[in-house]
Amino acid sequence: MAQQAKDGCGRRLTRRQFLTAAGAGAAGAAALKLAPWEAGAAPAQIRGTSLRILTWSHFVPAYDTAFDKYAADWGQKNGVTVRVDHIPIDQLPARIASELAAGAGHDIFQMNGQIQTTLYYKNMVDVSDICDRLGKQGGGWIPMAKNVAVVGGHWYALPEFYIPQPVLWRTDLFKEYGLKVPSTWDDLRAAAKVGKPKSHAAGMAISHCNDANHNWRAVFYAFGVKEADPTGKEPAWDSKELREAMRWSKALWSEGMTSEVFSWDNVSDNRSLDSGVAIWIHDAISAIRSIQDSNPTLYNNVNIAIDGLEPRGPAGRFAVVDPTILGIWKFSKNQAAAKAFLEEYGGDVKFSLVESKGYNMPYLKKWYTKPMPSLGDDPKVKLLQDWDKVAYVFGYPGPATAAASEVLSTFVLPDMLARYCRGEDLESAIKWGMGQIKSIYAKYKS
Amino acid sequence: MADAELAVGRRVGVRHRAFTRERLVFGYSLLVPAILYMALLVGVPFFFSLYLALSDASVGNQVAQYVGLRNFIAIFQDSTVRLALRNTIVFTVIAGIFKIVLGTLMAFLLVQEIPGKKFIRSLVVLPWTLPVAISALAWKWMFDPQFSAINYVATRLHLIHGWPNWLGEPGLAPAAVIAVNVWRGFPFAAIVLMAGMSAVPPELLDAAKVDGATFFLRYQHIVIPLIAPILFVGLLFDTVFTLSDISIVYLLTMGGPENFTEILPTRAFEIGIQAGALGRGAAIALVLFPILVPVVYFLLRNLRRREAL
Repeated sequence: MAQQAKDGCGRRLTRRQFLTAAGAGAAGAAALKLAPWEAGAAPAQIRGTSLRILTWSHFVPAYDTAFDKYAADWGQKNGVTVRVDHIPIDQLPARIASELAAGAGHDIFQMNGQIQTTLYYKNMVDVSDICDRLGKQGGGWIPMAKNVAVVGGHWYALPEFYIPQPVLWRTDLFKEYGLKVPSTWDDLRAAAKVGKPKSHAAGMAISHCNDANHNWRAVFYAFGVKEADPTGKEPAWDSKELREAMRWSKALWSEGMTSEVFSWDNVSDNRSLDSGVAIWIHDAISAIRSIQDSNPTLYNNVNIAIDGLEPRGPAGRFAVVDPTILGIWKFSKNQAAAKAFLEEYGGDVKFSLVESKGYNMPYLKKWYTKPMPSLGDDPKVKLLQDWDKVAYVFGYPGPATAAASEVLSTFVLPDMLARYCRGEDLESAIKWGMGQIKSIYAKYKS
Repeated sequence: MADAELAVGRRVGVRHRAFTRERLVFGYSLLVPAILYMALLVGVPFFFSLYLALSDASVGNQVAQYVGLRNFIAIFQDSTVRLALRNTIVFTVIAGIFKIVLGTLMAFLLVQEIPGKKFIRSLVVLPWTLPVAISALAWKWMFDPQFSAINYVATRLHLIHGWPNWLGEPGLAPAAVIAVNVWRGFPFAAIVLMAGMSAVPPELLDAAKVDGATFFLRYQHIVIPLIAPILFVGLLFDTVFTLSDISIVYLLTMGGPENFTEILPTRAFEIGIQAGALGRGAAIALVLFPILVPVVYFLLRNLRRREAL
């Protein structure tokens, strides 16, 4: 009797069975060189510590609630006091800068949309070990992940999720006007041209807002425009493809949009669609989530994405997404807990997909196996399950460098297009834009 | 006798010098807290900004190298910074004029003896006391290209034709930003002027009235000279507030359309904080300094001269 033990199910094991199981477990852990938390248990040294996380106020408010609970539960399980602070997305860059300047603040911080890993990486903890393990478990990272989190071959942040901005188009209006189901950017331009005189203009912001940045990049990339060389060091905007994209974009604006787009902010397109005006917009799915309950008729009449992807252009289909990453400050006094949290959260992609109702798209390839959690069950958003095939980030085809980030944050692309749309000569508008871009890249080279 | 007088004179001189020195030491020691306060709150940030502006500091690189005037040369080669500089000066001057005119009119109304005067005064200062984020967002809604309440009312009253895009047109957006700045700032001007006007002895005005001075003559020759010190301080405050006001532009237009509402503080924030180029951002912010110095000097010199009269 004394030579028998019980397993987890209460079954009795012989001494031989017990020793075999224990030996195999120990050998396995030793062979994999797992740290305690890597095997599912938190290291003893993080117990009794505290962890502070800085993240955005999610566009799906329920996700914030779920994330806070997730973090609190993780803290309770591991004996760590976790505090999560949510701030508006626009305030993240300033907050991150001030925390580094002060050498104090949160342990984990989020970069969202404006990715500046190349600027901050010297002050961020190398999390290559975590990302390598998560990559292996998750079937590898989609190519874009490296562009936002890797500098010099090292991972300095955990790719958290990205936000897709598909075309949201009105099936009822397309049917009413006898328009074919869109497949290309030209199809959408034709639809906008028909819709505008009937008070159903299309809309993409050409203004100082983030939507303008990624929407027009999606169009420009589809015309073959490249922001930089593959290393990200030399700007490569100035090309015949840029001129073609500019001409086409101006035609789209003049034929199918109104001047309202020059003053739109990040939610103006949502309002345009949700008020029943826009025949199509190009935005995150939050635009229709907000009318799912309040206006089910309109909700049912809006389709997401084109052929399940972005519209096709002369150079293919390109989606320019809003990436988010999570980094750990080197000044953090609790890096062990921060790494333990990132590893668990980064591996729990299902939580992110389900609680965000398909808003948070994963960077790990395995999770694109259909049906994806949350997306696969929802006929409205299940078309987004192939988004990894078209997902790119600013700076394409290079990484999201500090220079590319500054081009983004100073709205050079929307301003260059706005100048041309308002009557400035094409070459003059491009000359202005290239002057801004070259000056920015030169600064980071010197 | 002469020696005795000399000795007494020397003693008196020594005592006087000692007394003067003690007074000086005592006087300066009283000034020390104020000097320390100014040095810590104004001097340190200013010289730190100067240090940043002369370096290649970035948010991610804490070890900065001296680059001389390279940042200043670079920012003046940037057409957006030049536009921001022009906008900053134009905004400040136009908004200042409107605030003086409207503030003066409002001050005249507020000094009148009317029923509910206190309540009206408290209502008038509301725009100034409201948090800027709330008032700017309210204005943003009123200027919204799709749902503008201003357009809705004005078109129905046949005051305007069409549907102006207040924040999207290069000609209208700067006007909209100035309008919000004036709306927020003129109550401050009104309160400052009202405080000054209340201190003007009524018998002076009555005497001028008896002598046949018109309203404008009384205002020009009696009211303005008497309230000039308050007027100058108010003008100085307002100039500094307007020159450095980032919030209205940031919340209404983010510097758009096409940088037509970009001002130096927003550009400094974009480059220094959002893009992380601290050195260049600090250089942009410091462009305001040589603009402000002559303004402050001129106003304070006038103030001193008037006080000496």
